Amino acid sequence: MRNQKKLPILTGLGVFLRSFFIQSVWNYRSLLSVGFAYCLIPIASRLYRNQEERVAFLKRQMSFFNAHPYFASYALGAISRVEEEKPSDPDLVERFKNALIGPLGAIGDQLFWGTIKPGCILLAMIGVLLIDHLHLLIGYFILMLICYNVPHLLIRSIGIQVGYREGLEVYKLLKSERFNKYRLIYRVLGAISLGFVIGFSIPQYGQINPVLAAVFGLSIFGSYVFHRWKHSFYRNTLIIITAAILIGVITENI
Amino acid sequence: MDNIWIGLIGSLLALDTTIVFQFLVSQPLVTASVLGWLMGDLQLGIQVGFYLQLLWLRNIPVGGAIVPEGNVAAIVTTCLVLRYHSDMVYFNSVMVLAVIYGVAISYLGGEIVVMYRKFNVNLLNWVLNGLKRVKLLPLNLAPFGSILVYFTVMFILIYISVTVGDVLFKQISNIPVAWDDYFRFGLVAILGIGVGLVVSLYKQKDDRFLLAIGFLLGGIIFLIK
Repeated sequence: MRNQKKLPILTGLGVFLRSFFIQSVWNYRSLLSVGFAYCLIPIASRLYRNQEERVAFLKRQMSFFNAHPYFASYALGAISRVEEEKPSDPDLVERFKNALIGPLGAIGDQLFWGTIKPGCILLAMIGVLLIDHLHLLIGYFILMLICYNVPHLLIRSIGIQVGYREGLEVYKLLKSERFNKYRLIYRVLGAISLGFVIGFSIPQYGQINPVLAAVFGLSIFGSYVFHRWKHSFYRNTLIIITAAILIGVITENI
Repeated sequence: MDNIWIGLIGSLLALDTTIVFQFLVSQPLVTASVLGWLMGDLQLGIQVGFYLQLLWLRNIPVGGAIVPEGNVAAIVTTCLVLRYHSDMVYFNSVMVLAVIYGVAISYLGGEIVVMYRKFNVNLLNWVLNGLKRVKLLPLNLAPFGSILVYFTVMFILIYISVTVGDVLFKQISNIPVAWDDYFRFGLVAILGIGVGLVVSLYKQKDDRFLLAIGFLLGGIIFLIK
């Protein structure tokens, strides 16, 4: 019967709405802990009637914790369930939270920051190149924001319910392979869109001045190589822009 | 539009970067478009956002990573370009110089975020002390206090950056108009730098094939268009 259990709607909604603030007190000592405990206040109110017990529950959530902000919802749900079952081992919650940090961070960062976000943004950039009508373009931007925020909001809401349903077993579901098909869709879209931006821009600049197209190609190459070689974004950017302007000065005066 | 309004709108959008929601509205493409619309030139706002977007797209706000504040840079850059492009006479010059200025501001923004995160340790202590005294109020208030601090700090950064930018960019008319052509090369490089940074996100074997398909599609559609 374990997997039949659901978090009451109002409590779940309370945690979901608070989860938007999970990173708001991010600090160098305990990272997400304040936001995490803040999200669990509705659970504390549900589980305990007296203030001392609520505070004791929330104190347990104040230890070091970090995760991807959307995927943290799995931990919120799972901890709610574990706490509800009142484990006999007092250190279980902390050990469980620590065990979730790695998977929640890795999957979320790969899926959202590394794939869905660039995919949606690059798709939006194609719109800038192709759509001349401003209202249509704004509509297209909104569509791209929806493409990003549908999985975002789904993970936040489903994560709480699934985490609560699975409790300590949630780690079994936190495998990056489970999210591979979503990653694939956005990765394909992102890679094709990026190729499109390059393929569209080179002839566009070449039409104005072939040297512009060459500078565009060189700056892509330079930026890629510089970034791999030395990670200073500021210095690399300044060097490439200055070099491009110098090429402009030289070629325009020949 | 007054600098105070730009600061307020900019810092409100900046909250989306890492502090609350994270709906993606803090991305330069969206931020610059919103500001362009509010300042009366949506099309130019979108154009500025297009050039800026890729510079900061690769930044991944994981853990304690200190990433340049691309959102604040986009606000400052867009505002300066919209104010000083002089009917496109100086578009390339203003755009390139504003991006360089914006990149410097993004560095400052990144450093300020470090200080802000250190400040949050005080809020953590406040919450812990509250819990020790069996009080939940500090925990309930801490997120909003932190948001208010971030909002205020970003407001001050944007306000000062735009005000200083106003002083600097008023001198733009001293640049010979002919030089604007040289700056066009810099503008193209800005997009190239962004593409070069983002390409590294797609380095698997299959990605090369997909990039090539996109490249061909882009070229063909350009020719048709």
